[in-house]
Formats: sequence, C-alpha cells, structure tokens
Amino acid sequence: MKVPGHFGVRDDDLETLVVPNDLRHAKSAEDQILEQIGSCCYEPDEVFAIKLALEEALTNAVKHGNRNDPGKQISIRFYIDDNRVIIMVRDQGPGFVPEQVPDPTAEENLERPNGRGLMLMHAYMTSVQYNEAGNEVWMLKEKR
Amino acid sequence: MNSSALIIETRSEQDATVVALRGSAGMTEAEILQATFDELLATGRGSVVVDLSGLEFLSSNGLGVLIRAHQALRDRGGRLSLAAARQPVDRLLSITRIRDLIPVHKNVSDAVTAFGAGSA
Repeated sequence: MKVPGHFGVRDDDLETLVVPNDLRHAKSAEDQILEQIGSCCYEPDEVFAIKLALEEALTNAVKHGNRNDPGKQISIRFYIDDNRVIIMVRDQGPGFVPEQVPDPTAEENLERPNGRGLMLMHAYMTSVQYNEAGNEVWMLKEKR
Repeated sequence: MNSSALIIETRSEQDATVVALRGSAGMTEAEILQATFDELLATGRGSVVVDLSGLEFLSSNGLGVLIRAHQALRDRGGRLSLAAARQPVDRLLSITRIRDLIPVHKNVSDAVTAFGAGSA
C-alpha cells in the first residue's frame, strides 16, 4: 500500500527501515525516528504522542502480527518535516480486522492488561489507516 | 524522550511500599517493571504506591504491568495506588480510564494517607 493521498506527501519521499521481529530491534528503529523528530520543532506532548503511537504499532507488529516469530521482519516507513510526521508499520502476519477489536475503555474491558494499542494510536494521532489485509498501519501526526 | 532507561527505587512510607519510577516504561522496559512487582508480591507487601513523578513515558505495555499488579495485590487483600503523574502520563491514565480502575492521587503523601483512611 502506498502512502494515503490525504497524508500530503509522495511515496518516494518516505524513508524505509526493515528490522528483525523483536522488541529490541523495534526500539532501535523507534529511537532513530525519534532522533529525527527531535531535530524538528514539535512540542513535548506531540513527541510523546508520536512515540506512544509508534510503540503501540511496533508492539502489535512484533507480538500479534508476527506472533513473536524471530524469523519474521517488520517494515517501517516514515516521513518527517516541520509540519507532519508520517509512519507506516507493516508485519508479515495474516492481519486483523480493526473494527473487531474490543473497546478497551468499555467497563467490562477495563481489567484487561492488554488491548489498548489500537485505541491509543487513534487517540494520539491525527489519522490512522490500515490496509485491507490489516497487517499494515499508516499514521499521520500534524503539527498544531 | 528517546531514552529507554527505567530507574526503579523502592522505599517504605508508613505501612506502604512506594515504588518510584523514573524514565520510560515502554515496550522494552515493561519486563523490568514486571520483575519488580513480582518480587514485591513475593515478599507479601500489601499496600503499594507507584510514584509516577519521574516517569516521562508510559505505553500500554507499562500500563499492563500496573493493571496486573493491581489485580494481584487485590487478590491478596492488598491495594495499589498511582501518584504524582506528570501531565502526559496523567492524560494517558484518563484516556484509558485506568483512573476508574486504580486510585490516582496528586502526590505520594495523599496516596499513603488514603491507605490509612481505607483501613480505619
């Protein structure tokens, strides 16, 4: 899937990272992206939001998409300028249907120790969009 | 913000154990946090306050550890409270409705006092 049209950049403008399927390598990619964001003029709460959404997407990819399989990989594409941050995370799993994920803020789900990642991505980013298969998520954060 | 370090310090205040977190409790630090609570639970500590004043980042992985600790303590007749969260973490506790599950206090002193009031 190419970058969604309404994200406002060309597909060629994105950088690409491919990392082995484990949280340490995912974290290393996250640090690389955050370092670039740090050189732009985003407010601390915006950086918190981007970091949170990125961590949730990466965690979902490693644990749920690729089911902790060390033989799989995660692909990350990103674009950063002073007005917007775009991040794509893709795993090699079969995908899922986002609409079928239970609402973690519903009373009956509050005690669940997991299942909040997708909700947090939506809450903290300007736009979140999955591909049809459900193994690739595109996120946009526009600067205020 | 891109620091991965989580520093955990544990101390006693009155009858409560205070677990102070500094740094980041994200995807690579949740294991360390879980190990700390496993150790605390093994020693039978009943009332635990998590001091969030030094915590700069918290993800759903870290939140999951706090929820499991809350459940484990409750099952043993104990209690978990959160205290002194900075604005971004405090907002996260609201968005996720964690504050409807685990008591959240302005500071550690209030949390410890509330434990005392609760057992009176």
